[in-house]
Amino acid sequence: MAKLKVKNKIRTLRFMNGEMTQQQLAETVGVSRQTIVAIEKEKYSPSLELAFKIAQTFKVPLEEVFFYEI
Amino acid sequence: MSYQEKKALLNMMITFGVMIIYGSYVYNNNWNPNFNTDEELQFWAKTLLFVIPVQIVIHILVHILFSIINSIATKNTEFELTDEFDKIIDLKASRNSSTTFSLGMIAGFVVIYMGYGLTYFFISLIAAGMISEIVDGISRVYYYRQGV
Repeated sequence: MAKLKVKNKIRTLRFMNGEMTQQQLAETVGVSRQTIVAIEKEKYSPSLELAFKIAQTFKVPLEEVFFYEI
Repeated sequence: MSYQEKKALLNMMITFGVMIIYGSYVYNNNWNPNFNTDEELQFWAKTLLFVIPVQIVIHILVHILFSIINSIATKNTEFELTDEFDKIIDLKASRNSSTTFSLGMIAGFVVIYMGYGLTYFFISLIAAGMISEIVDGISRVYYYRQGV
């Protein structure tokens, strides 16, 4: 499986939001915990809709959660 | 191992188990080596038409049982969710499974072309079905672990 170039700071943002658990984030955005694990480990790039939902959960712009590594 | 991975492996085992048990039963009770072509076609049609509802019913029953046991054991309702990640994995696993079955069907035509007869064609089809189910299960586990 090719390494994804879309990186994220979800782990850091969860820590900064009162050590929010993956399960809590999953429930907030309406996906399974396994999906959050896959996104966090950069094994799966979420849809735009889910990416925006994650950014809104942390109350930060999208580019502060996800960025593209050249 | 996650719920989705367990479910994929369970699907694989049910299909394989039902086909082996039902196949043995049919072979020992209904198979006659002296069938003519029409009787043989009728035999295979009856066998395959009957195995479809049997597979569906057993799948439903086992999955209900598995869901209950899993929710008691893990105390969560994660299995109720099917999100975009699951859908992508479902599509990719189905693609792999369909490709495998198609190759099996081609192998079946090759078998007929080589003059082995209808029995071996249908055995090839059943084998292709079972192998495609295994490919489907392994694909799902692989994608859940390695990502898509």
